Amino acid sequence: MSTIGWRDRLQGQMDPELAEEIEVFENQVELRKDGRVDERVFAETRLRRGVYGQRYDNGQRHDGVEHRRLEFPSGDLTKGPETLWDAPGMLRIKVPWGGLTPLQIDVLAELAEEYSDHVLHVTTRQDIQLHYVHIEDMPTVMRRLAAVGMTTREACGNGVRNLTACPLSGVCRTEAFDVTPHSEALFRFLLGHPDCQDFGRKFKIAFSGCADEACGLVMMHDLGAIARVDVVDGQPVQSFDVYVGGGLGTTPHQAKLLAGQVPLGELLPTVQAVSRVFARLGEKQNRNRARIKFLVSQVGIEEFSRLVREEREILPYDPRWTAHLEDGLLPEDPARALDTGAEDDGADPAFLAWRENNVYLQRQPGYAVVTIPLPLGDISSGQSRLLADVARRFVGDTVRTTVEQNIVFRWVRLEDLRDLHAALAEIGMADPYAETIVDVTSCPGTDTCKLGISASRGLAGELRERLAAKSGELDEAVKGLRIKVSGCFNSCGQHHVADIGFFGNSRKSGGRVVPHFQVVLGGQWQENAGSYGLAVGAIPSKRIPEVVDRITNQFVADRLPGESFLDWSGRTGRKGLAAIIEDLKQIPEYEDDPALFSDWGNPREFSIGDIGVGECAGEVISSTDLELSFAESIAFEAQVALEDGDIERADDRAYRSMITAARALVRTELPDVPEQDDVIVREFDTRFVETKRFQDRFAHGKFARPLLERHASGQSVATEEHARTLVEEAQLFIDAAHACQIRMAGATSATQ
Amino acid sequence: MNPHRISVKLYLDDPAALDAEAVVPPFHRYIREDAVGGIPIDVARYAHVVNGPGVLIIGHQLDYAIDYAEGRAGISVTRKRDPEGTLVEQVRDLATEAARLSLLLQGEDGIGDAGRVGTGEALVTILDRYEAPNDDETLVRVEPTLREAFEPLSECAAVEVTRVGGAREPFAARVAITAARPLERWAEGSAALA
Ligand code: HEM
Ligand code: SF4
Repeated sequence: MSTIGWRDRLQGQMDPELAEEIEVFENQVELRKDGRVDERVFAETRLRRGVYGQRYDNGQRHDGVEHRRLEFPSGDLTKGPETLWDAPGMLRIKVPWGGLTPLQIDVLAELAEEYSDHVLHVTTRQDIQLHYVHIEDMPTVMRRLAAVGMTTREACGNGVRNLTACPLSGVCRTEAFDVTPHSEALFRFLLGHPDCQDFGRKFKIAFSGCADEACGLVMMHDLGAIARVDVVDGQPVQSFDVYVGGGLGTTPHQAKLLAGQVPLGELLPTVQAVSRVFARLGEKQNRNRARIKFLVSQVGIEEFSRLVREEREILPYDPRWTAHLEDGLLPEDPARALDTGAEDDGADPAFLAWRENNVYLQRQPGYAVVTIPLPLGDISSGQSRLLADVARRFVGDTVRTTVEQNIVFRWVRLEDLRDLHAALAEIGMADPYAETIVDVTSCPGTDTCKLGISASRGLAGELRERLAAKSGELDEAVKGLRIKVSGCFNSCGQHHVADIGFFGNSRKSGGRVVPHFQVVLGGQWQENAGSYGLAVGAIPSKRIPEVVDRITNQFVADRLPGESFLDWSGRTGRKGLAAIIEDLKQIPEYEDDPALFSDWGNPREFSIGDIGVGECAGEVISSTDLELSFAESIAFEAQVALEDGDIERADDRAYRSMITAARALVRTELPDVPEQDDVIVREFDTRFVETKRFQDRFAHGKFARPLLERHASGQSVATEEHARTLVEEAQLFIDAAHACQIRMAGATSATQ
Repeated sequence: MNPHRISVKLYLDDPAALDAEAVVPPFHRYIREDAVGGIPIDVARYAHVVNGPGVLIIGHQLDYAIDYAEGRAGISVTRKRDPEGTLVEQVRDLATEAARLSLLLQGEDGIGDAGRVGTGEALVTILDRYEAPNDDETLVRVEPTLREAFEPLSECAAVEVTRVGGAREPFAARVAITAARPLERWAEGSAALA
């Protein structure tokens, strides 16, 4: 068998510690197969090795008409709670700071062919994912990766995830200095570090070479480091500003400054001290409050910084803190020395368009960075091999993945640009859309993610196709916008930091469920994702292309000279933005437009999870629907108030919207519930929270908490940050109320 | 030899006539109606990837695809797990499945002839670099198997096998079939051809 064959063949080619880890994991696989390891223990074991579940892995799939059981040969054997052994799985491969070599690309291509579906998928955190991999193949895949220096260790689970960094590090014109060697040192230092094994939740780190551009997206990370140079006594001194407590997800937080001007040699111990504080004080029981952002909010950044300093003082010395500095920080070398240095600027329009969008001139004269856009982050195994050859020819080992799900080649000689373009065009990889509105980013969504609500990839693909078709006519101001799509509120597609973002949700109409996307406008990409967009309304999936058209047209029509999308959306205001798309919210009768009831790229009638489609098609809109939409308009008022700087009103409206939504649910069982907050909250708590009916299968009870806490406190919270959080939470509360209503309708129709 | 995965691809007669996205609704229906084997799970859409795997019915044991690899559109079927029978039977069964899928697609409104594949040529790929590196030695080992698998598909038992691709690619052999039997016969499977 090739499994044993590979193990023997690769002995000695793997890092011994990784080899040992994989051996242990392989044994765990065998033990679990024999039922000798508990499924929960096995699930955590595999997650810590990057082995995720995938959609339908509970063995149930809605085929468009009914739920069907997938009859796998291993029957009921599981690899985790509700996760069948034979069900396909996803493997996430860490690519620290995005760095890849052609040899690694070759091996990834081999693995995609032999164990997956011939596609490598670049994620929004510079990782590579393989989908549809069987659990029993995982150890061999891991060994083959380890033999070329790649790991899946801690790519999932409650640990330090992939470490991301700006793909221009070292060659960027505006950076303070190259963060690559520091990122690499920190990555190696933290991988498997004992101080990082006891986290209550995942921990994401990013590096950026400067504060102003987007690049590293430091502000949305659990921990981030931004490079800076200060002149001290006439000498330039390099250091990092270290930020902590950012994150997207359901309640986005901006990171806060933990410590400024941290000397290079202090970076690793500082992060180690943060890890210890997080491991010791971070929430462990409630997953939904376990990210470090909650701890930082709870104790305050000053106290958190003090705890970290205190911890730093007592850390036992570790030579690895500074080993990378002593080795000397070697800059990356170009694969090809400059010859003429002159760029051939011919007039082929395809080349010129590509040159304009996909080429960035490096700080080093004569060289450029070239972006190779991957549609939806995908590249086939065959293409990967060809691309590796092109890399060998032009840039050697200086390839990187990006958080925009593309690949970049660094150190391209300007004199080679034409030949490189021709070589890429020959393999179909010279799309001239890099970092334009056509280059839409998306999370996996309903294609493979268990949590997906709407088809983010389906929508992203559709938008990409439509925008590419009219890219020639797009206004310059529109061309540079960013669109990002997430399949649900978890924000893996990073929609919060796009000009135009979407996240999946659903609404009920006439007994059926309609896929929707919440429209999020005006997120900031610059300044390391310096501020987040806010929601302006949920629209049926199939109408999102129309939303993009209307929003971009309005922007072009209204725009003041030089005005950015961010500024325009701020000036237009939430009310103004919502008005542009308001009429698109209306859901017609099923018979009038059945297409609206299925999602992009998926002809099956839409359904969420195990919820059956109600049999009451054609039913007129229920009073619950009406009340929930009323709650939504109150939430909208809250957002407008927030925008106007009226914090008190924002807080009050957010709270009111949740009360209204809770009342809508309570009224389904207690039609005469009085208009008294105490009674509504009490009834909601006993009927929906305590009975766990309001719980999301994955988010559990988190959506109910803001209402219960805000009600219990009995008063308005004064700060803008609290109000902003409450406003976001109110929207999620209403989404959860919709979902709860859908579940109840499903349960009712199933029992009828 | 007990390879990890084997795939057989038949080429579309008129690749330009078929829009890959057009197979998405029938593929979902085939899953619902158990029209394909191999414990189908879901439809994966990769038509946006140039020269990629196209649109697939991904299953536990078998993947069926409108496949654009090598820049040539075809129907490929891959055995991923739980092989049955001899290697000859496994290869021939995959050719049968590819033929069956072509016939199913030809029966679809809006697809029709665009789903037709030729029978004069097949590509057999062994996706197992450990057992079957892409070299002449492997060709020597598998050629008799491929002959035996495809000869009954030719009226005069005349097939020619050539290895294709470089050492970094999986082992692949192009099988040219002279006087090939009609697709309907291929679709009947091993027993009918014996
Ligand atoms: C089974 C599939 C997945 C699950 C269950 C999942 C779960 C989650 C959850 C719950 C969050 C919310 C934030 C939190 O509290 O941690 C989140 C955020 C995020 N996930 Fe995923 N995710 C999945 C797939 C992915 C994929 C494929 C990627 C791409 C690498 C990804 C990247 C991210 C990013 C970038 C964020 C937001 C950024 C941040 O908060 O740091 N996730 N994910
Ligand atoms: S945003 Fe939601 S659907 Fe998308 S990958 Fe994350 S958890 Fe899955």
